[in-house]
Amino acid sequence: MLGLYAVIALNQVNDRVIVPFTEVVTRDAAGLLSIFESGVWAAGTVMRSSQFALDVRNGCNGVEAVILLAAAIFAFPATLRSRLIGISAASIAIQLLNLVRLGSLFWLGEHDRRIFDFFHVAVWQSLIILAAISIFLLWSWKFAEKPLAHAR
Amino acid sequence: MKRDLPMKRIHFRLMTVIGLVQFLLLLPTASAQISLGTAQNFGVLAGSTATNTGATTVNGNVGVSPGSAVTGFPPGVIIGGTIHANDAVAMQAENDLATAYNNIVATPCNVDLTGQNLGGLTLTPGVYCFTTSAQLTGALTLNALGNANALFLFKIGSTLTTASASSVTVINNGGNSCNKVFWQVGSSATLGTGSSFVGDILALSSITLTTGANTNGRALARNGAVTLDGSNVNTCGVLACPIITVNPASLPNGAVGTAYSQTVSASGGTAPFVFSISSGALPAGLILNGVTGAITGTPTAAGTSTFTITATDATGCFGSRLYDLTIATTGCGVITLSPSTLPPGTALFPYAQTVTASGGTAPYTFAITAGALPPGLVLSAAGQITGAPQQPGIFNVTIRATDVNGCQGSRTYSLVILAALPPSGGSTLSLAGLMILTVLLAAAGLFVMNRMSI
Repeated sequence: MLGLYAVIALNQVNDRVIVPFTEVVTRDAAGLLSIFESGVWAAGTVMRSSQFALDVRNGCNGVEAVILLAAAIFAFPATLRSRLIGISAASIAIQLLNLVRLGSLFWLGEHDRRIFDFFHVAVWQSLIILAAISIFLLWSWKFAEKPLAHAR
Repeated sequence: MKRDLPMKRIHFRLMTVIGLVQFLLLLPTASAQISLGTAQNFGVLAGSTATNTGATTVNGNVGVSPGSAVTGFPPGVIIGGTIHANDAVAMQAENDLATAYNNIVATPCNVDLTGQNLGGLTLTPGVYCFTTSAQLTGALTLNALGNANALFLFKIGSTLTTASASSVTVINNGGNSCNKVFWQVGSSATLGTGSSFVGDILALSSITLTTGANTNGRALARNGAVTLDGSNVNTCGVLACPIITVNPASLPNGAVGTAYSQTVSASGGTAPFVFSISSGALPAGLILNGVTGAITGTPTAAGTSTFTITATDATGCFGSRLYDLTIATTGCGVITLSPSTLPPGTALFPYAQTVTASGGTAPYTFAITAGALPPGLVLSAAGQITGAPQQPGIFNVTIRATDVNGCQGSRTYSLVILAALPPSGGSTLSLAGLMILTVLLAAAGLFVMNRMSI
C-alpha cells in the first residue's frame, strides 16, 4: 500500500496517469450531472456551470481509497483470482460512488455553499468509509472464504 | 481693578467665541458618516482565512478574499448571512473595505492618545489617534452625549490589544443601540479572553478574538486572517449604508472641438446626491456639475482620461464608479468598444472573450493601455482575450482600439476571476479518513478470519 502511495506521488506518474485519470473522472461526473441539469461541463479537472466551479484535485479522484481497499483485499488470504475480482469490483464501486459524490457536491455548491462544505468534509467521507468497509466485508464473506475452508 | 474688568470680559468673550468655533469645527467630524460599502453586509471579512473554533455566532456574512478558506462553520453559526469564499461578493467587499480603511486613515485627528492605556478613560465623540499601538486594560467608556449619530473614530498605527475581560461601553447614545464606533488598526487586533468590545475593527492584517471575546461590531481584515473562538460578532454596531450605484456603467467617447454633454446619476441612497471626481481627472475642457451630475464642455485635447466619480448621499454614504473617457482627434468618429463588461471567469479554467470596436474604420488593433489582465490571460491585436487565468481576483484593465486611420477609443473593464472550489476541506478521504478506514479494514479482516476459523 505504501509502495502504491509512493508511486502515485511521483511527478511523472502524477502527470501522466493521475491527472489524466482525474480529468476523466471530472468529465464523467459532469456527464452524470448533465443528465439532471443542463449547462454543466468540464475542462481539464474543473467542472463548471454559469454559477459554480469545482476543481477536482488529487485526493478527490478516489484513487487513495481504492489503493487502501485493494491493499486490504490483497492482504486477505484468498486465491489470486478472488483477489483480482475483488480489487476490480471494489475499484469500480468506489469510482462510481465518487462520481455520485462529485455530482452531488457540485449540485450542493450551486445551491448552498454551507451545505457543500459540510457534505464535502463530513458526510461524503463517512459514506466512502462505510462503502469501503461494506465492499470488503461482502467480498471477504462471499469470495474469500473458500480457500480458508479448503485449507482447514 | 476696575480698568482690568472690561479687559477680562473681552478675554472671556473672546475665549467663548473661540471655544464655540472649535466646537462647531469638531462637530461635523464627530457626526460624519463612514461608509463600508458592501463590506457592511459582513460580520467577518478576512483577506487570507476565516477560522472558527467553538460555539461562535456571527451576525452577517462571513467572507474571505483573496484567500478562500473558511473553516469552523459549523460549529459556528451564521445568522442573516452566508459564506462567501473568494467569490465576487467577497472580492467587492474587500475592495470597499480598503476604501473605507483609507477614508478613515485620511480623517484628521482630534486627540492624540499615543502611549495612553484606554482603560479607565471616558471619551466623547471624535477622532482619536495612536501613532503606534493601542492597549485597553479594563473599561473604556464612550459617552455619546445624547447624540444618536455620535461617531467615534480610533486610528491606530500598529496593533490593538485588549486584556482579558476588558470592555468598551457606549453611554448616553440617544437611544440608539447601534453605535458608530470604528477602529482602524494599522496591523493586527487581538481581543483578550472574555473581552466585551464595541465597534467595527478595520485591520490591515489580522483580527483575533480569543476565547469568549464578543464584539458589537464587525471584524474586517484586509490582508490577514480572522480567528474566532466561541465569540459573538454582532453587526449592529454601525450605521448600515445602502449600496449606492453610479450610473451609467460607461460614458460615450467625445471628440476635440465637439460639445460634450452627459449626465451621471446615483441610486440606492438618500437623495440629494453630491457628485465629485474622487480620483483621476476629466478630459481637458470638461467639467462635472456636483449637484446635477452633468459632465459638459468642449474637449480641447485628444486622449483617454481615467477617473472615478463618487456620489455621496444626504446621509454621507457613498458609492463610486471608475470611468474612462476617450477624446478623439478632430475628424475621428467616436470609437466604442464592446461588450461594455467582460463576463467573469474561473481560475484555472479556459477563458475566451472577444472585444470588438465600432465607430471608426476597420480593421482595428487592440492593446492594453492601463492595468493588466489576470496572469494567464492575453489580449491579441485582434481583440481576443484567451488563456486560463491563474489566480482569482478583480482585475482592472483598459483596452484601447485603434482604427486604420489612427483614431482611438478605449474602455476600462473590471474582470472578475472566481476561485474554483474546493479551496479547503477534505478530499475523497482526508488523512484522518484514510487512517480510520485502514483501522476498520484491518478490524474487519481479523473479524472475518476469526469467524471463518470457528
